[in-house]
Amino acid sequence: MSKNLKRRGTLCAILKKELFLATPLPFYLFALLGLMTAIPSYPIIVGIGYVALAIFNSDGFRRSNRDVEFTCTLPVERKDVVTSKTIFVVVIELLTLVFGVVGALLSVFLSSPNGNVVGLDPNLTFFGVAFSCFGVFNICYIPGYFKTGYKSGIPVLKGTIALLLVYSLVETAVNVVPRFNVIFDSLWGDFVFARAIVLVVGVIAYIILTVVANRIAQKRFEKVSL
Amino acid sequence: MFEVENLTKKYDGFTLDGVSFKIERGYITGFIGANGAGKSTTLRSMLGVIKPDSGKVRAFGLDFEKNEQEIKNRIAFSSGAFDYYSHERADRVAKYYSNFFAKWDNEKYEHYKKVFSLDGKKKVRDFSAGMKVKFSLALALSHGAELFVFDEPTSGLDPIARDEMLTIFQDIVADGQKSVLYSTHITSDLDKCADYILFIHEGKIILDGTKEDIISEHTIVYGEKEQAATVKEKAIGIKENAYSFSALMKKSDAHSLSLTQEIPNLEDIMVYYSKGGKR
Repeated sequence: MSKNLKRRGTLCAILKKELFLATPLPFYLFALLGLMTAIPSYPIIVGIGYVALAIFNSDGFRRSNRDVEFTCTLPVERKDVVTSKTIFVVVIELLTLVFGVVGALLSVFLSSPNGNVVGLDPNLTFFGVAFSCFGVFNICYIPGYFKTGYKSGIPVLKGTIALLLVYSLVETAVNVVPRFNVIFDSLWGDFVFARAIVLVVGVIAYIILTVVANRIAQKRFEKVSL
Repeated sequence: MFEVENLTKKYDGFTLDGVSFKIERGYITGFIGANGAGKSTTLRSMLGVIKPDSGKVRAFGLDFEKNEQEIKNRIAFSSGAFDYYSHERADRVAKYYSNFFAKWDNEKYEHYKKVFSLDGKKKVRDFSAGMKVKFSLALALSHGAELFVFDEPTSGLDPIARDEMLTIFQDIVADGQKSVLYSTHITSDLDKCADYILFIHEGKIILDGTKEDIISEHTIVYGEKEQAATVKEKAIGIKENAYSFSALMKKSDAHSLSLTQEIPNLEDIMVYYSKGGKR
C-alpha cells in the first residue's frame, strides 16, 4: 500500500474516532442553538457563540477519557491528531451555521417589519461576519489548545473574547455609520450584492484563518509531551 | 527487535539520563524500579507519547522517528489497565480501535473475548481492574502486534488475576516471535516469568541482563554490627540495626568474606540498590 493511501486510511480512522467516539451526540445538539437566529429582536450572535461552549464541554469530556493520550499511542502521525480535531471544530461550526440559516428563514415569518432592532438581521452580512468570527475563534483556540493537548479553558476564553470583539466592531460600525446600516443591516431591499460580498469575504477569511490555525497547532503539538 | 539508545528527557527535579537497552524477540522483559524512578517516562518517551530531548529508538530494523506509524502498527502499548472511553461499550471502542490497524482480525478479537471471558456489551467502566487489563490485551492480540509494551499492567490486581496475567504473557512469547516488555514494582511476578530484567534507578538503567545472571552476580551477606565496617566500602546497599547488618554485594566482592551469605531475589536487589549506603 502506498504511503499516501495508508495516510488517508489513518486520517479516515482518526476522523471516525474523533467525530463519533470522542464526541457523543449531545455535544452536536449545541448546534441546534444556531436556530436562535429565528428569535425576533434578539442579539442573534449568542446562538452562534454557543459553539464555544460546545467545544469547551467536549474538551472536558475528551480529557476525562484521556482521548489525546490514547490517540498518540495509536499508529497515527501527530499532525493527523491536530487535523482531526480541526475538522471536528469545523463540523460543529458549520452545523451551527446550517441551523442558523434555517432559523434565518424562519425569522422571515417571525420578525417585525423593522427587522432585528437589537443587532444585525440574520442576513448574508450576518453569516459573513459569523464566518469571520469563527475564523478568529479558531486561530485563537486551536493553536492554544495544542500547546498542551488537553487544557482548553484559556484558549476557549481567548477565542470567545476575540469572536465577540470582532462581532461588536461590526455591530458598532453598522450602528454608527448610517450608510452601513442601510446597506448591511436589512433583510430585504437593495444592496444584496454588497451583503453577498461580505459573506464571500467572511468565508474566505474563515478558510484562511482555520488552515493557518491548523498549521500552527500541528507545529506546536509535535513538541508536546503528554 | 527493539533498541533504545541514549534516551534523555529533563524535567524540573528529574532527568531520564541516557537510557539504553535492547529487547530480544521471544522473551519477556521486566522493567523494574521504584515509584518515580522513570519507568513510565522511559516507556512513553520511547513510543513518542512524551517527546524525548534526545536519543534514538529503532524497532524491527526501522528508525522510529521516520517510521513511527509503521512501527506502532506492530506494537501494542497500554498504560496500565484500559482506562479510555469508560462510558462506552467495549465492542464499540474495539470497532473504532480496529480502524487504525491494517492487520486487525475480528475473529481473533472474538476468540480472545471468549478466552478472557470478556463481555463486549459491557461498558468499559463496568469492567473490573483485571478485566480492563484483559481487554487491553485482547485489543493488542487482535491486531497482530509483535511487541507488547505494558506500563504497570498488574498493579492493583489480586494475586489470582496477576498469576493469570503472567500465564498470558508466557503464552504470547511461546511462539518465539513476539516479545513482552512490562514495567512493574511487583518483583515477585518477575521471579516467576521474566527472562530479562531492566532495572532503572533515579532515571538511569543500572542493571540490564538475564534474570539468572543478575541474581547470580549478587549476594546478600549477614553479620554482627561490628563486622559492617568490613563490607561497607564494597556494599551496594546496606541495612543496619542495633545488633546486626545485611548488605547486598557483587558476588565477586564477597567471595573472600567469612560471613553468612544468601541468594537474593529481585526484590532484595531492587531494595538494596535503591537504599545505597543509607540505613
